[in-house]
Amino acid sequence: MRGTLEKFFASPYLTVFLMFYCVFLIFIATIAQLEIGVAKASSVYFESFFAITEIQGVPFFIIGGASVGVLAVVNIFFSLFKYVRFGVVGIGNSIIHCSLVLLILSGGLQYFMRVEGRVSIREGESTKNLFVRKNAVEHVQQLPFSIKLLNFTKENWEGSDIPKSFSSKVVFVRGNSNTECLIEMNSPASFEGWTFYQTSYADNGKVSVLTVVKNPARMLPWLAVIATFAGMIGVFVARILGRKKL
Amino acid sequence: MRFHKNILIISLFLAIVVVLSPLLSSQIFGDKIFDSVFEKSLSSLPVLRAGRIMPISSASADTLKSASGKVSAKPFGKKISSTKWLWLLNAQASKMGELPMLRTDNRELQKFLKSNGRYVSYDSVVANYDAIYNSAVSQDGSAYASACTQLLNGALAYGLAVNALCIKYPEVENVSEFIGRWQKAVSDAEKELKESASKKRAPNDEKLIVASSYLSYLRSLSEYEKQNNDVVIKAVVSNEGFETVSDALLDRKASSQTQELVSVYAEIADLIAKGDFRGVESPMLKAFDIFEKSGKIDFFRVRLENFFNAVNPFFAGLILYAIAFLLFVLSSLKGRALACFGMVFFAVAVVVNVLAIIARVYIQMRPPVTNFYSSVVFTGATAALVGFVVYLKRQSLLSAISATFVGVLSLLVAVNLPYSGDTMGMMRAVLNSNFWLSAHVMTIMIGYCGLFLAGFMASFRLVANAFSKGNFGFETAKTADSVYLLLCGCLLFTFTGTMLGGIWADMSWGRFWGWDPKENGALMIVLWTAATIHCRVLRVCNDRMFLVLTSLGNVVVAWAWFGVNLMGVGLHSYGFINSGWGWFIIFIILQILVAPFGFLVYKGDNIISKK
Repeated sequence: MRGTLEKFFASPYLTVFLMFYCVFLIFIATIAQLEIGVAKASSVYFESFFAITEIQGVPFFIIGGASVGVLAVVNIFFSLFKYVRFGVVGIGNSIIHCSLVLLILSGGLQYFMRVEGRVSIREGESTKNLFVRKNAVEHVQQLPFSIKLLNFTKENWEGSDIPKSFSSKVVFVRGNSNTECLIEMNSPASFEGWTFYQTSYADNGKVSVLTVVKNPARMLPWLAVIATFAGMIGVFVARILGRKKL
Repeated sequence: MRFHKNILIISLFLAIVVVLSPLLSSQIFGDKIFDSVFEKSLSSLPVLRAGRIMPISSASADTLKSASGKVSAKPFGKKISSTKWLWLLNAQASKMGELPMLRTDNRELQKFLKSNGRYVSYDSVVANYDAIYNSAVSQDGSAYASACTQLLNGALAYGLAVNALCIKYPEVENVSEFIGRWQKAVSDAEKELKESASKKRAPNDEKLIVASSYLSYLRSLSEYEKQNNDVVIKAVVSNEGFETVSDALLDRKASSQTQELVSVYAEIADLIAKGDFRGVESPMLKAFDIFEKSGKIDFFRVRLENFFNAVNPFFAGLILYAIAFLLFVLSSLKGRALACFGMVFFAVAVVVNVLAIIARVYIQMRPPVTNFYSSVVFTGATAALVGFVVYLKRQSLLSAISATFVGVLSLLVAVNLPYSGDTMGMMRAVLNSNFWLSAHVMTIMIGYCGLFLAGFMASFRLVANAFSKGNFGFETAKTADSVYLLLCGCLLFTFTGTMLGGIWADMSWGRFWGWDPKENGALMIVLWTAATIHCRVLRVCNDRMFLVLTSLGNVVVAWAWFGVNLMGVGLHSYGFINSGWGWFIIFIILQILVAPFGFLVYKGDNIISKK
């Protein structure tokens, strides 16, 4: 029994099936987005273990992204025992695949730990209200501090209406402390674990719209990606150096 | 490879002729005063459009392309450049309005406007404006509605262009006269108002009427232009930068420079209306003088762009790649000698393609990939360059054929892209970051072009197997080896590029991965490539199936690159394009039809059977 399970979970056919199935899953989810939107499609196809979906009116049972993630982690884990070798290439491959496990796990962690919402502030006013939308349900959360918009600026490319950059000058107020910050497009600001991104504006620039994110697991994907990249470089360099002729 | 010196020299000469033909034909057969790129001409006068200073040749080409789908026109039977078209339009708007210059491909709309072909006149659109507008905003999602929208956008660009360089008032014969009358009317009105105020009597309406009718005409024009700030051409330089002619006329504090430029352009328009092209030279040189004195123009860049427009390097590249492709294909059937010819055309095509991209980078001061058009062009160039290097090292005809094919396809797509604005347009705020643009976009593009190269190599090999006379197993294995190496490299680039996109998004928008269509497409590509590689490494399939999977990868890449743009959903929808589904579907079908070739097995004695 144990041998069969090991054989199944370490099977290269499972590996290849999971990857091709992912391509298929992502494709039907993308098509579904046209109708139900990105957020809903994500929760149905990627954040679930199983789902029943309709393609052209015909109901289909599909394995969701969460199941695929779990199976992939198990498959990689068992395959490592089967295929691991010593040497630069072997270690490189191990790093690549362990980092991919980390990437998948960090996706799962973020699902539980990450909070994202929006804040709209009028120039001169302040607010604590965070509008959070999870699974197509919107509710209001209170930030542990208030944020005041001092000034919003929008710069256009010379003589046109195409926006070049926008930025908000804000003050974070908690108790007696006031911290002033500038939030620009592509250049967010953080305060007490919450990060503020300049997203858009309203009312001709009198209202600034910021996306606010709290994500303790934020650096995990970065770490996983960098490690995978390092592993890939290691394997390629070792392979190229190892070849006598190209 | 034996080098036939004479063949090489002849083909080099022919290739250079192809490259220089657009330039030579415009310089020799065009109107010097309009189109010369080596001397001062009307095409290199600077204007501001969509936030960027550019030569008139670019602004007029953008406008003409959005109105008629082409960058040249034949209003009176003979082909003229976009520069000449714009000046004729400003000089003789009423005559041009009757000519069929706006394009629509929708048969219903053509019939409605009673036209004989694809082109309808501006006047007919204006006459039927209400009906067309109502259809366009009807939101019924029909092809007719979107054709109406497209036609109205073209008419809008056209209508704004009519007053870009000078303004003709309806009853006044020529432009300079209108300016004179306007100035006189303004000073008369001011005098009258002053007099009536000092003498404490009501102003005499008769003396004010002319000024107010001119004023309301100019004001409504200026309002209309302000509503279309991204499309309007601003030709007049002032202390604050560039402004439209109507704003310059309305500006009571206009500098003498500005006023002089307006009258100089008026003079040029009047001369053109009379057909006196020779006389245009002197006021034109005055105009250049005014721009030079303003100190606001980088003339080198403007003239470089003008030169670039005349050379039309991507069109030349397309022809060269096509010739090289045909020569390489023939060479695989007839013998190696033709490959020498092909190599020369290939080399010149790559040089032209790369130089053109460098020129664009210099003109825009941006990394090579900033929008959909440039991503396509860049991919073609990279694939061609890689294929060229591989061909030099290994003399593999297959890589030459695939690389030139990618070159042809990419430039064909670029040259025919449905028009969505200035190809060197300014970046929207979210993309305004040179570092990330280079890192993420270029890495992904290099990956994609490598994948297309691999996909086409696999496809050509599979199809060639059907026509192969002997045992093609060895060739198939060799190709599978090369393709495998290429795929590994591509996986590195696509994975890194996709993840860099995640990091960029995390820094700018607050989320590493949003599952929007473009991100999904990129992930699909990474997964497909990884799966294909794993199939080979884990020995799940043989060489032929591996090549089939690689060739089907082209479908995934095409979907991720073009398909999601055609969808226009999510944060990535800045690359949205209206049409092109037809060609996309054809490509997908053709690519899928290659797959069955993977089932061909050599069974000895020239018997080929499907397994």
